[in-house]
Amino acid sequence: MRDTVKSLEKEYLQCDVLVIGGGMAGCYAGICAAEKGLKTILISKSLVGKSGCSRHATNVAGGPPHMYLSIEERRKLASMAVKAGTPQSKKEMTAEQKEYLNRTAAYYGHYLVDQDYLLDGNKWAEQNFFSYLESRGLYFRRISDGRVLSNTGSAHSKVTWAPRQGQTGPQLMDLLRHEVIASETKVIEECMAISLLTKNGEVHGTIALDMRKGKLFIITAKATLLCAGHSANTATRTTATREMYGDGWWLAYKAGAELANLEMHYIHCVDTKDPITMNQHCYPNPNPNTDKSPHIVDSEGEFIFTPDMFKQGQTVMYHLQVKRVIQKIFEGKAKPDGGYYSSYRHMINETDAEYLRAKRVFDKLGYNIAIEPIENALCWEMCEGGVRCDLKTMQSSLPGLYAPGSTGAHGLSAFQRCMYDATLAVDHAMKRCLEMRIPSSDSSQVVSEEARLLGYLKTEPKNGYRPSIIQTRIRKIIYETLVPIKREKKMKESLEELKKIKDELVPKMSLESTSLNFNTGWMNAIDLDTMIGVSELQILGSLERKESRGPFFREDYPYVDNENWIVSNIVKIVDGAPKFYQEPVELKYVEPDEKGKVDYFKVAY
Amino acid sequence: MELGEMVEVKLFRFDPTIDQQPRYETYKVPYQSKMRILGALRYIADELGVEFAFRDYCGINRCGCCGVKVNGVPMLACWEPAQPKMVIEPLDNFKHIKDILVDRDEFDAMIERLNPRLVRRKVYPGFPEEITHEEMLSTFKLLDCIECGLCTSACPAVREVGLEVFSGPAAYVKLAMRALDPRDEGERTRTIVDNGVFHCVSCLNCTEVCPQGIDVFQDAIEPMKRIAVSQKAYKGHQAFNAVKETIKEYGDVNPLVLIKKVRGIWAIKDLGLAVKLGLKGKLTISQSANPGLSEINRTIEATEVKK
Repeated sequence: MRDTVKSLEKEYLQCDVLVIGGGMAGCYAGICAAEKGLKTILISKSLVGKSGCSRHATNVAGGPPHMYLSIEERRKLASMAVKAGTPQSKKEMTAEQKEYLNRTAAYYGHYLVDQDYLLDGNKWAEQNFFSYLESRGLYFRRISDGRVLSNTGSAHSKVTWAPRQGQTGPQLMDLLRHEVIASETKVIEECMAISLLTKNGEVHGTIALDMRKGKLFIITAKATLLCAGHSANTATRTTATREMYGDGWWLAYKAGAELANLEMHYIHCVDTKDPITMNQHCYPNPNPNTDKSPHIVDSEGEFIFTPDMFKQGQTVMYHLQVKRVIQKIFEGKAKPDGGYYSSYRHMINETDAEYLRAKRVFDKLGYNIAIEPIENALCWEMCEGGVRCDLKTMQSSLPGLYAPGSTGAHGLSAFQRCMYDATLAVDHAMKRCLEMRIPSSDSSQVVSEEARLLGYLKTEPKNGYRPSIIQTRIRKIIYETLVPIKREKKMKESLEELKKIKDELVPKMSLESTSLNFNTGWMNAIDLDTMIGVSELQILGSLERKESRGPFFREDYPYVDNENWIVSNIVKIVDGAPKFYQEPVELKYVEPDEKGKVDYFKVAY
Repeated sequence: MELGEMVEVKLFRFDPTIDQQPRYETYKVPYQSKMRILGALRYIADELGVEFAFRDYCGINRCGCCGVKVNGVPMLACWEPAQPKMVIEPLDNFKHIKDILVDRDEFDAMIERLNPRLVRRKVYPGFPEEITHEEMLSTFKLLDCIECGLCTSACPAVREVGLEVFSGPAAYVKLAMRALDPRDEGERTRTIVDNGVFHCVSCLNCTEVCPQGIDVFQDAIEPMKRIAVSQKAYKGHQAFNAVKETIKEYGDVNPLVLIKKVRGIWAIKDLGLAVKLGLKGKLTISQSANPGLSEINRTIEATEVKK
């Protein structure tokens, strides 16, 4: 055993743009910034493109309508005009745009998302998203006549895959991984941002830990782009990859940035229960190339998602799934972690591994879907909230800090939105880069962060708690507290419990070794700080919102309150403690019909 | 396995920066429903607090990072079922970092060296471009690759000559994915030859271990060899073509014809060997054509590289 480590090796780097995170937003920002000639560094907590939430995304929504025409039909139609620009008032909006807003602002944003941002992002995506990826070699699944395959091959269902349902994320992220590696951007993998460098209320880069060597990078940058994802490995069942603890949120929060709507997190309702390490989604939408959907049934065999729920866009909206499952839990016919099922028995011929990645998973797990249903469980998924940004520039409330992609608070992210955000952030970062010099780093911050990291690096073979065991305990607390039904009493108890963990267990934490070589325990200890912080903020945010909306349900406030709660639920650190306040959201083009309080289960958003 | 039974895991532990030598630690893990190898590893980490180094991200065969050797066979921990007794070790053919964690740098560099990006020379016509699924079939078979490295880890040729000489099956899958894409206009032939694909000994280990079910040998390695030979870019192409021509002609490998085709007039140097072979009945002067010749030729035609 070596002696106690007294200090860490340090390397100082400088750049114009620093990107933290290697998912969709991060990779694309790295590519765009390099193309603009900006000196760019991208650091990723794990392997670029291989981890994070983008890898898990399975479908691509949207796209130009003529993608569903055969090559012959497309040749006949010279081109189909793409939609007009952002409307100036309610009157100028086209029917198509209104339909789009109703779908996104209402169903996916529950009226909490900026509507201009939605329209602009959609327009950008239609013109750029598919063509960028296809030009780089992505294969959106075609059929014999050259049509892009969708759920049913109809123009109404705008969901496509590359090349199978359930496989788009890996395809797309491998492509972006190779694109960013080939760009001028310097990529540092397995390097974890510890805290943001701040000076006079501005963000000037980051302090990061190289996990392979136990070395500190002090990276000063004119613009810092936080692309660390949204979902977090803070609950027992989660679609987040294992290294994600909401790092982006916690870094921004500690630096003093405003966060918003942290309580608005999505839940996957129909993921496989077993094995617990694998969450295969049993898509409640028609399988590719067919018009048949799996049956989702409760413990008594009754439909949870009734056939009429499949009408809207042919897929059952996520928040509607949550509402139905919550009702079934109240009826005692389902539990959060099991007791309800997905059945493919009626559509075994439509379950083709060539179109459906899930089929391979079911086969591998030994499920005979021709005769047995698959038990489901609720799984903590993505979040609508995050770091609050100006939606024209992606700049947070702190100059120099940007949060493109799902780290931001601008609603539910999709691939397209992550890319759009990245272009906005890089454009604005470029302006900033031209106006300023590379800032110098504040050495006192480096000293205190180094001391914090070294503080974790201790062993007491006989006594002490391993950080991973504490993490496991927190995952259980969060799953029980927030998935899917929130109750004030339980939330307050859980906050107490988290406080106790922080005060009593964390100080007694000790590691297996003090090695600087990929020390998993050390990383867990650092993550634990993030995990506790993010979990507390999410519970506090949930306590703050005194209504139910979208995927967010409180048993003590079981109604949608459009009068008081179409607001951003904002939090920032004030004198070392979280301070919450609310600001109204402007409903520029579409608004809900219901004005006062309405039954949560009776509205469709 | 059944619920309540115990899984026994013997885990390879070695931190080269502090340990003198590797050791194996044994843990008992209660079996859980449909448990994967990863389930056992996570139990050891999360419930027992053992801090072994390991890459574990997605848990569902998407990221390709949790490759380990279990009872001697490379596999993804997230994908394969837990076995009653498991010896879990780091992957072969990778540099070791710590415990069951390996260094992917050299492996990644090989993929980059073979350029896994689509090369277009013509201007991209805009989305959606005019392609059909049939045109994409050869490349479609390879799109599932998640760069997990199991094939390269299982490859005896890589073990023998090293990645510097033979970039390994995984890198060739990524190359073939582009080279077989009808949209690709890159100059790939030189790359195919220069990265050692002819070191492949056709053992099929790569195909066997692929967690995505890609027939690595048949759908990636072989087509690459064929392109190299058909473009006469590989200096051994004469031998390859001679074998093919002989089979086309006789439906069998005719050794005399083969020697004549490959060695030409210099075959005379090996006269002594020819006599020996002749005495043992290994060289026949005349050979009649295989009765299934037309069938064989149809098969050869069907397997020619098509792009």
